[in-house]
Amino acid sequence: MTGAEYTRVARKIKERLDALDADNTDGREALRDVAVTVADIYAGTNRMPDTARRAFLAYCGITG
Amino acid sequence: MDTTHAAYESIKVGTLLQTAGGFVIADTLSATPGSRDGRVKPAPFWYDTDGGRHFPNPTDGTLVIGLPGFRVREYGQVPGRMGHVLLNAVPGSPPQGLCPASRNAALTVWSSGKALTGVSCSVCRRMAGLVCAVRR
Repeated sequence: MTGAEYTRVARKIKERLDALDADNTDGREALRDVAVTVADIYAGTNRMPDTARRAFLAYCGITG
Repeated sequence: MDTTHAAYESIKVGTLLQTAGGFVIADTLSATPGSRDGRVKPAPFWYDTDGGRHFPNPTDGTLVIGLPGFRVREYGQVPGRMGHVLLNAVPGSPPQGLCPASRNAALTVWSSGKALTGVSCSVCRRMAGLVCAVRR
């Protein structure tokens, strides 16, 4: 998968995150787990794993 | 993810390049060879990590880059508490990103000794006293 294809996945995760209520921490954590898993997969296939991981999570709206 | 235009000379390896399809990661700065007689000049471009080429805008020499940052939606109210929730911070470590109000990466963090972490922005006082509600 290319960076653009991973972007589509990230956008979908972000949409789901945005749709959650702010106090739905369980749902948010579950989605974060999914995002982190996909970010790790992306990082494993990229020449710049740290950047790829951060970028994917940032695109999901997850930083820190 | 915010975006901005950046001169191609200022782009570094690892910069997020924003394309119509999504983000890619700048990998190698290269240039087309141009012609020997000099009529066609070398054109600089960035390879991304997927092997794609990204030429700067011919009019202003810029590329669109992505800026990871907090979104307003990352903040919410803690039920029964005053203040906001910083939903994407890691307790005990400073959040990386931009303050949504000031767009300035100047946040300070302290550990409360629990899963919750207090966060305050040293730039925009409005956001002071944020509480992280995410446990990792």
